[in-house]
Amino acid sequence: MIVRRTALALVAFGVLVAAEANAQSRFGFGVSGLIGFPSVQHDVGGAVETLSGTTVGVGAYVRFASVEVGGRYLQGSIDDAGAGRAQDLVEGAAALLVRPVRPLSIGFGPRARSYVEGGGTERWVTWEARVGLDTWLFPRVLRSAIEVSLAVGGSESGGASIAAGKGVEAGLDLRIPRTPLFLGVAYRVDQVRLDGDTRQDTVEQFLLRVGISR
Amino acid sequence: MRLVPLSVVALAVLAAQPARAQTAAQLVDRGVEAYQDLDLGGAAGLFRRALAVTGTDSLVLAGRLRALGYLGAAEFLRGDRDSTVAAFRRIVLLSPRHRLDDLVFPPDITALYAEVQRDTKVVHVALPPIVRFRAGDAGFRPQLLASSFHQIVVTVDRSDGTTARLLFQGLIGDSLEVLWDGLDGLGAPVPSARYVLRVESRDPAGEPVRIVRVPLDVRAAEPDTLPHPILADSALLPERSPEERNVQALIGGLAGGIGLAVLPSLLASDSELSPGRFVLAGSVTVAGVIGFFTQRGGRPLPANVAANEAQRQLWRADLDRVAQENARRRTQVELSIQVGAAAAVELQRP
Repeated sequence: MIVRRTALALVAFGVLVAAEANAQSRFGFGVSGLIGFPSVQHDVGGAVETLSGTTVGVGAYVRFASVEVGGRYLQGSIDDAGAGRAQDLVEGAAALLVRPVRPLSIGFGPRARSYVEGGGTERWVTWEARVGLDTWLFPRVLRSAIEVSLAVGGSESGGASIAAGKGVEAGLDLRIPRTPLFLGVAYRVDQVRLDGDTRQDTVEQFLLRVGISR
Repeated sequence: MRLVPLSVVALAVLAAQPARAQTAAQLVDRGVEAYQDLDLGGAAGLFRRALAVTGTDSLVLAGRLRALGYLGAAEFLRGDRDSTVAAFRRIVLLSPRHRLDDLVFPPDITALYAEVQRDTKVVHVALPPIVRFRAGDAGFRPQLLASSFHQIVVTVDRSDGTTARLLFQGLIGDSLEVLWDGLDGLGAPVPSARYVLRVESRDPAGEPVRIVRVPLDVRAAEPDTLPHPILADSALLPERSPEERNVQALIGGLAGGIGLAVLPSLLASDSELSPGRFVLAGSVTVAGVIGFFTQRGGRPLPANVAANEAQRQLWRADLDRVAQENARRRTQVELSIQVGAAAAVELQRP
């Protein structure tokens, strides 16, 4: 089932990329520093454990015409605020996006999240299809963006497959006039469930970013 | 009874005119007779009286030159060298190239005259009253006649005294033709204004001794130039659609705000999520609403923008063509120069 959905998504994505071959040429890029404030809820058979903390990282994208490649990387630590449990959290995501029409964007890419605790590492990898909208609320000054993602495949390092995964991210970017600088704030939540409902992780985080873009 | 005295007065007035006109010339003739009779004092007096006559009865140039020649000779024979030199100098100033007749005057007198002529640095400027030519052609050709070999500087000066063009600097023998093409020192046609043709005579040490100034009233008739093409706004298509509210901002704000508020709860309904997202959702919504009401402007119309750019390129090409044509026409200025009476200033007497 997951393989078929993945294939369908890849075909649809390929069609969109091909459609962009005639799109107008326009080059752009952006680099930003990120600070995340994640809150992770591990739900194992109904027992919920919540860990929160801080992560830092970088994000970047390169855009040519209406095709964009981007990614982000964050790492830090989370704990349960007093119960004595702590984990290192490492998260990375990449995506290839196309913008068939403004303000719509459609993309596809992997997201990986690792929990490191006591020498052991638990890694979750999902392949996500994404649909987003981004518009200027004030031209060239304030922009909002919202993106919904749906996992079409993936696995957990213990061998389990991903049964379902979904997420949403939205935020605001403020550009400093006459400079390439921008400041941003975003909120993201995603929930991933393993086959057999053995485990479900919900990761919620606020992100602050400062960067440059052209 | 009354007609007789009136006619007598009229006849007397009419008769007096030719009598007075003949007086200056007759005085010269009588002076020459006295000179030939060796009545040198009487001759000198008659010549001076003839030269002193002014107005319409005054001597013409030839008569003045004749009177001054005999006056100088009479004073020479009377032993008054200074008066002789003064008379001969007046001859040179009147006519730099004048020669005393060797058959009339003895060699020692003609030799003294030649010496005065050599020591008096004088240049006469000969020009027609009006000169017309096209700027760039050497159509202004003043003839310079010099009394003797010496250095001169010929310029065309503006009314403020600055030099518009240096025409000649060097030695003149007995005559010289200088050329002016109506251009200033930078090669541009001079504008309409009053100028001065200035001829400065210098002594062997290079010091100016005499300046002749000839007023020139220059009228520059510039040819008609083509008007610059105008690209009227009415010739251009609108590059944006009619002004409209920024609907995109409203949609983006509402979508972002509602999405932030609602979607997390739907996606993770069984999880306890942070209420902090509602602050961000409210910010996005409010920003979108404000953007909707404050930002106006239509959508860009790319086809019209491209058409207008093509129109502007044609206009710019037309503008360049007109500018080149006008630059070419501006070089074809017709000049009309009205020449005034020359005036000389003596700076130093030898």
